[in-house]
Amino acid sequence: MKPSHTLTDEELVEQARNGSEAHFEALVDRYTTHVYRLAYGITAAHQEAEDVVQETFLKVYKHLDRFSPSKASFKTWLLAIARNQSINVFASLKRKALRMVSEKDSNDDSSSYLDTAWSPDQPDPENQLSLRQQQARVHEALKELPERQRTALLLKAQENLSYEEISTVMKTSVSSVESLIFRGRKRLLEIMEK
Amino acid sequence: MKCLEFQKMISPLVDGELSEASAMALRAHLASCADCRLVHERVEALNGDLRSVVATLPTSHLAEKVKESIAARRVRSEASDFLPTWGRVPIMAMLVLIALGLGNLAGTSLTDLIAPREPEVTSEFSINDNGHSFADLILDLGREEAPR
Repeated sequence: MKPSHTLTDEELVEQARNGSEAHFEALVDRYTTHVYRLAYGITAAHQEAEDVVQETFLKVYKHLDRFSPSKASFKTWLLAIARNQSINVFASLKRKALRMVSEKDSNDDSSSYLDTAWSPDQPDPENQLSLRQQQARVHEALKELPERQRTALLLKAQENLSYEEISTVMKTSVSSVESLIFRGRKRLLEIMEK
Repeated sequence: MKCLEFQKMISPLVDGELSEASAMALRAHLASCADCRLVHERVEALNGDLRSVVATLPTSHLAEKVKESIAARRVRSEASDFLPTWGRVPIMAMLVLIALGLGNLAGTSLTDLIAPREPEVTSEFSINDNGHSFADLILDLGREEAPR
């Protein structure tokens, strides 16, 4: 049986620290999608999000000894690293976009979003098209939010973290998180109603 | 309490972050207020949209890529740990060869700089350099007579 099915995150970390590659890989299997979702939510670019995932796990692998279960859960610690990586990439993308002022890139990104592969458990083509259009609208609306509002919203909606966990990831207070999420939702609804 | 205040509580209610007492008050209000109920429904729908935004993104290959890059990093790291004993010798040898080559191109070889050689005598005829010009030597000029 794979170690990921039976052990907690902290147990996997402990084994990985003792040199077990299999246990570290179990952590990769468990959290790749979570890191990718956050990275994609922040950078809004597939390739960059994949790069963030790679860099995040490389950092985690290198600094596994710095993880302290008494301070935060592994997931929170991991997402905090992923967020920092994503912010760096996002800032660099913004600089690049400012330099190039290319409308094409953003259009390509939207279309690639709509071109994602079909999954068998998804509805029929007509509903799927509608679903994709709705996803594209949300995706475009998300891009208009400030990074902090977007990150807080995604950590809540996609990772189902508590406000306290989000405050740890974002290094801010719980009340700030509540405010960020409230304002983010309000703004998203306004944008999508346009 | 006004609708605006209730609407501010909808976000933490949806997130499960509202106290039980506040949640009960809000639910009671939602039961009787169509406007606030609509806001609540929209926030719930938005949450569903946000969850589905990335649900279909292709990430199945990504975990394998991450594992491969970590394995590659580990191999490189192990290799670099091994280098100080013998692995760096070829690199150093290559650097020395490059330096020698560059020195020769510049007109002075590195070996000359390290161990300068005596100038080679190219002719058996040699003239002691006493400050006279070649014309002085031919015309025998410039020889000082011995004081009487």
